[in-house]
Formats: sequence, C-alpha cells, structure tokens
Amino acid sequence: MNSRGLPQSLQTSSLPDVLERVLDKGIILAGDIKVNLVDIELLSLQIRLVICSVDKAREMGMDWWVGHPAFSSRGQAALPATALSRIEERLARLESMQRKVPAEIEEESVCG
Amino acid sequence: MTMSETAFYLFCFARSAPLPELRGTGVDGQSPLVVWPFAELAAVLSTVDVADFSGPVAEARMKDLSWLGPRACRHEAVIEEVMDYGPVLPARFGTLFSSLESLEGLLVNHHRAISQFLDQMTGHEEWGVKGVLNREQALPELKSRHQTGGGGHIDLSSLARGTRYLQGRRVRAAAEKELPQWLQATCCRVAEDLRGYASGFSVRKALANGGSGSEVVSDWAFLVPRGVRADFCGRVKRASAELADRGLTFELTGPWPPYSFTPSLPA
Repeated sequence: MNSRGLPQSLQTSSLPDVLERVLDKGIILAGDIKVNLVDIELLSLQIRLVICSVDKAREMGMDWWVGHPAFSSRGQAALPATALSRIEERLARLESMQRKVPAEIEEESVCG
Repeated sequence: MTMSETAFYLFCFARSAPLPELRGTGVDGQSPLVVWPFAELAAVLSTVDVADFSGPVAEARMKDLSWLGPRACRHEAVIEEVMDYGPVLPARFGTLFSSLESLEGLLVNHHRAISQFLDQMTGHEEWGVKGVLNREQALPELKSRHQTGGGGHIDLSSLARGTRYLQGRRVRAAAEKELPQWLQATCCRVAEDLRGYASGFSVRKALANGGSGSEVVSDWAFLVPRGVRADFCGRVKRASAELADRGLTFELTGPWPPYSFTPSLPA
C-alpha cells in the first residue's frame, strides 16, 4: 500500500483540476440531503488566480500538501523554469483580466 | 431537518472483500472513515454535521476556497486510497445521506448497476486530456500557410504600402476563418488516435479559461486499461509536442477515479 495521504492525481494536476472532477455535476448519485454545490465555472477564474499565486495559496493555508513527506521533494523550487514562466504569464494575464471584472463578480471574490 | 443533525458523507462504493481498515479521514480531516458493507459491496463513509453542507451559511462558505480546497482534496485522497485495493464508483463531493436506511435504499435499487460498473472498471483508470490553444501562436502559422499558398509565396515587402496592408488583412482574415476548422479537425484526429488506447471516452464540458492567450478548447476523459497506461501517456505527450509549434498543446492529468464514467443512479 502506498504511504500517502494526498491525492495521487495531484502529481499531474492542480487543485482546479481536482475541483473540476469532484464537483462534476454530471455525476448522478444524489443523497437524500440536498446540497447546493458551488458553480465551478463561476469560480474558475478566481480559483486559477489563487492557485497560480503560491504566496496567496500559502496565505490562505491552502499549501497544506507542501512539505508533506510524500511530496517533500516537490514544491515551488522543483518546478521547471518553463512551467514557472508559464504560470507567471498566466498570472499576469488573469490579474489584468481581474481588473476588468465587473463589480458583481468581485463581490464574490474568494481572494479578498 | 434541523441543522444540528449528523449525516453520512459518501465517498465511493467498492467491493467489500479486499478492503482493509482505511487510514484516511473524513473531509474535515478528523472524522474516521467507515466501511459499511452491503452484500458484496461496501460504501466508504464518514459522519458530518449537516450544517457544514446544507443551508445558506454552508452554501456561502462553499465558495470559500480555503474551506473547499482542502476538503475537496481529502475527498479525492480517500477515493484514491480505496482505488489502491480495487475498482471504485466515486461519489461527487458533498453526497449526504440522512441515515444508513436511506443509503441502503439506494444500494437496493441500484445494486446491479453498481456491481456491473465495478466489474467494468476493474484494471482501468480515468485520464484527463485537455486541449489548450494559444491563439497568438496558432494564427501566424496559418497566416504563413496562406501567404505561401495558391500562387506561391508572396513577398509582402515587394508590394506597395496600400496593397501590402490589404494583402496582410486578407491573409489574417483567411487564417482566422480557418482556425476553428483546423482546430476541430486536429482535435478529432488526436481524440480518435487516443481512443485506440482506451476502452471508454467521454467529452467533458471545457471550462472557459480567459479570453486572450491560452484557452481550453477541449476536455476529454479516457478510460484506460492500466496495462497501456505508459503507451497512452506517451501518445498524449507526443501529440502535444508535435502540435506545440502550432499553438496547440494537450495537458494530461490522472489517474483519476472514474468520475466521468459513473452510471446514473437517481434516488
């Protein structure tokens, strides 16, 4: 048995990918207690913005997998330079987009 | 229903036989996991406070990533732990039952479908493949084809300024018109090729990912026999490398529990 406490899929994906899978509304298996899940599409932009910013994720306590024994060799420093520059590019783009986001979406911002 | 009630949070169904005691925790990071057997099946559960998931306060908190993120990851981690022992039928995050009787009702109604699904999933895993387009990289490629197409290469610098401008506009318009067709044909070809390695294929809804720069143009899920995992992953990486110069790449994620292939199990 693997000694891991974290999703194996996080080795190839990011938190937004996990959220897209576990919140998939296509899964028809309903309990008898109604739970209104958040609309992943509406949150997608903020999610990617938060996750792309390592500092922000750390601030929010969302880096709980960093430093986990199963992932001790991973982390920010382990990212290849190309991945980092892609993330930086994407972050800059998202930040410039966020400045244009209408007020009603900003109200729902999870970054605040 | 009062808000202080306890409910059963369902992670997944599995076969009961190979399941030992699980080491993970409920989505709160504390509650123990419970393996609840039903015939040859098992439901992997934990108890939760209904108020954490249902009602206006819970719904508002669900938008808070610092609450949702770790819980979503724990949901995934529990199902992946169960996957180590055999096939699973994953539940969506936040699938709650008010009682074991209620869960039993679902199992009685759908026992056959769940059992068949677990049979089909044996030795398989889900892989996600997202097509990502960089429009600004894709267009120049197509433009250069239009410049060199038809009557041979046109050297724009040899044209008068007005003609050069018009020719440039014409080439860009032709490239923009061709891009969706090229994209569709290319994605179809790649999907067909990858389906050759898979025993299941599902088109997921691609989430918009910003207007400019990179955009997700396709989101596919493949059900891949574990034995051909390396071939499948290699093929995705090769397709991505081959098309990267033309602004199209394919991102591979997995292995996932078979979320995209779950049967419909209405209450």
